[in-house]
Amino acid sequence: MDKNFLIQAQGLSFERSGRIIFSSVNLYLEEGQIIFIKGKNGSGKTSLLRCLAGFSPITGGKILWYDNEILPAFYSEEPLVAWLGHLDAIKGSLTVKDNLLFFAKIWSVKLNTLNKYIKKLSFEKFMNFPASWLSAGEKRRLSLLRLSFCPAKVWILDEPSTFLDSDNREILIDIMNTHLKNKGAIVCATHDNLKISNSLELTL
Amino acid sequence: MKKFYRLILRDIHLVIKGSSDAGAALLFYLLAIIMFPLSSGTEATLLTSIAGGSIWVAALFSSLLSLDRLFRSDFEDGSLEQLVLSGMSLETIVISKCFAHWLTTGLPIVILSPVLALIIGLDFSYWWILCLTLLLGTPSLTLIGATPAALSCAIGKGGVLTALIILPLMLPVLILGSGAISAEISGLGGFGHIYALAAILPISLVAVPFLASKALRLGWE
Repeated sequence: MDKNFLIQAQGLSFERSGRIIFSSVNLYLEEGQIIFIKGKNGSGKTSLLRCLAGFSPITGGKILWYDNEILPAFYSEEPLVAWLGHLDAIKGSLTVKDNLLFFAKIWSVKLNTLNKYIKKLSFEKFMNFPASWLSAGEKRRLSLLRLSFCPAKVWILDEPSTFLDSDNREILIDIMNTHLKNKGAIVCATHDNLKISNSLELTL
Repeated sequence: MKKFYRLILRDIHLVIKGSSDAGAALLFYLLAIIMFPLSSGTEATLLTSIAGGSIWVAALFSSLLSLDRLFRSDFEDGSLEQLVLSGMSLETIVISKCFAHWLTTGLPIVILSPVLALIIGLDFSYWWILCLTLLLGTPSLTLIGATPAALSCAIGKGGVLTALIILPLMLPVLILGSGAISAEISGLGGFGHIYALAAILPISLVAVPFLASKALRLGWE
């Protein structure tokens, strides 16, 4: 059995000031695969994602990215992971366009690609608005837009469907499916039932 | 390197759009300097002797004001997380944010200082030493303040607490900077102080990125 794992995490455990948040979690992610992480509030979904990305140090176990002991938050070449969390990283005083262009440039994304996704999420009419004018749902869609052109192969999504209405939920599922089809992989913590075929589930 | 410049450009853009304290810090610098003649009288000999020191104190306070928010907005809105995952090391991010901070608060202070020195009565022939000390000192002020600013993000508190931590650390820069000017005025020559001031800059440039990024990582844990 010699598969190309993007992430291999064995026996992860994490405690914070003596409290065990989760323990002996195993997670294997391959190309084209999606893993939903489910669990009650406070069961450690976000902590697990933060450990995978390298923001929080695990207290036990081992995480391999591309068979190496590197973590995305410490890796300084190309982006290993696209992250969508509770914080939107949108600068309210800059225009929507400037917000997007900044990330497009540091990720070396071509303008054509960017424009394609702007059309797809129908964001053209917002481009010259300051981002602070957007509603919570629109900001979420802006984050989705940024996510969809990130060149990283692995997406880590923390509750991506919050603030989204049913139409936009369809768009989210569509974006996720496209990413999976292009040999990407997704780890997604969610309470919602996002219908994606061949998904795996991990309950904390 | 390209990402480094992008981040600096974005920070400058944010300052122009008014979402940082840089403009206010500069105004504060002007106002604080005007306070000195108002409070200690307008006698020419007295003003000449305190001019260097008061410009330095005003420069220190104004960079102190804006330092508290050096990392805070990026830390709180998740930009810092996105940047780290974009293939930039946190150390590079720290340096580039410090550089942008210096360009938007330190450099204007240096440029304005000869004019202000005239206003409060420093002899014009000393403008070069004033500018030189500020040019060497203000980047050190920014760098020295970066670690406490990062720590304040980690503990989620800021403002007065950050100022309390930063102020004692900045004292050597203040002493050397204003000391150089008074030594030059008294005829001793200010270069002894300036050499020491110049030594602080590379030391902090090397040490601070590691310390500040360690502090920021503490905040994520």
